[in-house]
Amino acid sequence: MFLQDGVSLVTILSVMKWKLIFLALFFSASSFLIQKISVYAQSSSTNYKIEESQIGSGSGRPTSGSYQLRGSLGYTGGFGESNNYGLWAGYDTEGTEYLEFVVSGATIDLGVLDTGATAYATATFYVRTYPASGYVVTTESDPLAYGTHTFTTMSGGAPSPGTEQFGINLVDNSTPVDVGANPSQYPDSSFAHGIAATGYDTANSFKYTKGDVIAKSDPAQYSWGRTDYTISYVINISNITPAGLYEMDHVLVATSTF
Amino acid sequence: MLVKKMSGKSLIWLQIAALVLTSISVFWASTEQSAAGMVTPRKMDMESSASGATGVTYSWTFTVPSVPSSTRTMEFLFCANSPIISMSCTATAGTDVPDIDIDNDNAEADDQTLSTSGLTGTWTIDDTQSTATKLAITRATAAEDLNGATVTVSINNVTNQATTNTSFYSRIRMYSDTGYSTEIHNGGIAASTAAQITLSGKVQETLVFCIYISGGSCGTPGAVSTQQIGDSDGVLDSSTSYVNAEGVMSMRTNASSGAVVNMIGTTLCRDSSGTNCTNTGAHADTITPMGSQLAGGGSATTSTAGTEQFGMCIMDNTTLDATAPYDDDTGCTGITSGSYTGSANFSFYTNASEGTQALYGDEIASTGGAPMDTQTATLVFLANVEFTTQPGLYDTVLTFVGTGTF
Repeated sequence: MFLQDGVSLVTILSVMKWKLIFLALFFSASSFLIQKISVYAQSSSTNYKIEESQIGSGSGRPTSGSYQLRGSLGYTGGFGESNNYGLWAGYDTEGTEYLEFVVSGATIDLGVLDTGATAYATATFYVRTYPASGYVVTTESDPLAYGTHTFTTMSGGAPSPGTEQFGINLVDNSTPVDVGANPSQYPDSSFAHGIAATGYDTANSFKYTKGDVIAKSDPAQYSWGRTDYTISYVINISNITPAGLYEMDHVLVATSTF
Repeated sequence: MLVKKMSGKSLIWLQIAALVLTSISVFWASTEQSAAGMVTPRKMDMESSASGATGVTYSWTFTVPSVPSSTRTMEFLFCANSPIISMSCTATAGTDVPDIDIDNDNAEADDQTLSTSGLTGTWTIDDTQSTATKLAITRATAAEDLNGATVTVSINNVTNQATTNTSFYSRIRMYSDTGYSTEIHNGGIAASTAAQITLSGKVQETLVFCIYISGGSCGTPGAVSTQQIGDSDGVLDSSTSYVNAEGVMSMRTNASSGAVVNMIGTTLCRDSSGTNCTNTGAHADTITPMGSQLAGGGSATTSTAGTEQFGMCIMDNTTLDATAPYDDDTGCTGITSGSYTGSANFSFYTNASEGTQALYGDEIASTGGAPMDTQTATLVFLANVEFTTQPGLYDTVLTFVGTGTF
């Protein structure tokens, strides 16, 4: 049976069969290639922003109440652009539950403490976590102690030489000395949003309570990415701070919620 | 056979439809859908992140999906490689993941105390299913009573792995059966050990002790070595009692067990060579020291004009506190130098073994066994003579020593 134009339906179906096969193969290959060539950028327009987006069908796992997609991206590095759009690519975003918590592990010798002057010290740590809904860093140690005597802890305010005190904060301080640094987002603030927690976020004011949250992800932002933190320590002694070699093994714990 | 004619346009639409269906099938094939099986949110709290720490409490807190499901058993598994449930789990207890079988007896229930909240029923550790890297818990019956609940499961005696600043993972798995095979919900968690920051600082032992004349200071002590007792010319009279209240002692110390003040010296003596200054009694070269001089401690008495007496009391405070027998807190107050008619109790314990003539002298004050910031106390000396007291210049050099116990 021939149709108009001399092409039979059987022929048409045969042609279509191969087209269908070709199309199926084409799009399967395309999806595979797209997964491999995922690039990473903070994409946004006036009305829309994609955080750490993946370009491609991707092996993603974003979640909603009833749907879950798991994503995994690699970076190509560098800057790519077209006539109307540019992408900075170059940062790993983990698709599975991930927490990287690295503390500097510093050994700080404050020397001989003096009633006439405040002792200062700093240490660093960073947190990188994906795809958490939030994280906190808590301090889990007693302050400087010797024998049965533990340093009096601060509850805010400036250090006062001659008054026994132990306190920390996680911001940049200016008086009476320039010590510490604000949380630093890596590679920049569009990728991460860690902040110093309340009580530890005021310049020149120090506090310490064992068990406190001292750093966390900004609840108003997504909590992925890496943030570098600097702890500033202040120590003062009084005339009656008992003599001895005071020590503190400062333990920090990072907890991500997924 | 009748074959229906198809127009070119229809053919095109058919091809488009095939194209769309193909892409959709590819799209769905590349995604993973797991709506009811994920416990979210979920976290694992650790009491300590220090590598090798022992006795650490771990708590898993998670929200069970709000879908009908019957729960009978749960597992909390540590893995070093991945949180993904479907992947194999590599773990070496105590090396790259925590260890919950502390005594390595394959009985985790005797190492850990299980605590829960938000769970119904009685849950216990399942030793047959638990391992050194996996906590398994079970209850007597399955029930659909955890749907949508937020639960916490804790154990309290975990040993952290030896590696520091290292990520590891925990997998939560919930089952409806006792065989841990019918999984209903799960979720992965990432955690990390961390290095500790070690701080140290030295507080030096300090003891600041000085004697000065009233109105002076440690830096400007005044005429400490030329104090006299008596009238304006330093003459004693059998009809009048005289006191000198010019000496002030000042002390501060951070000695954790406090400090004491000892006094070393003899009573008033007119023998300039000092040879006869320990003799007392009639015709001696000394003014009789007040109070008992027997071993076991001195005693204090009141002033009696016309009776040979030399003694001391201390106007102290509760922090720098006088030691008996110099501690008349009632009478020894508000005394100024000159003639004296009060009723304070004075003493001067010269016993050669325990008193002012012992090797280290007699304790006259202390900080009460604790560190003390700067405090002062006034030394009040009393002298009385008899009509028959031999004439002469009577004096004494008293040495005061502050001693801290650190």
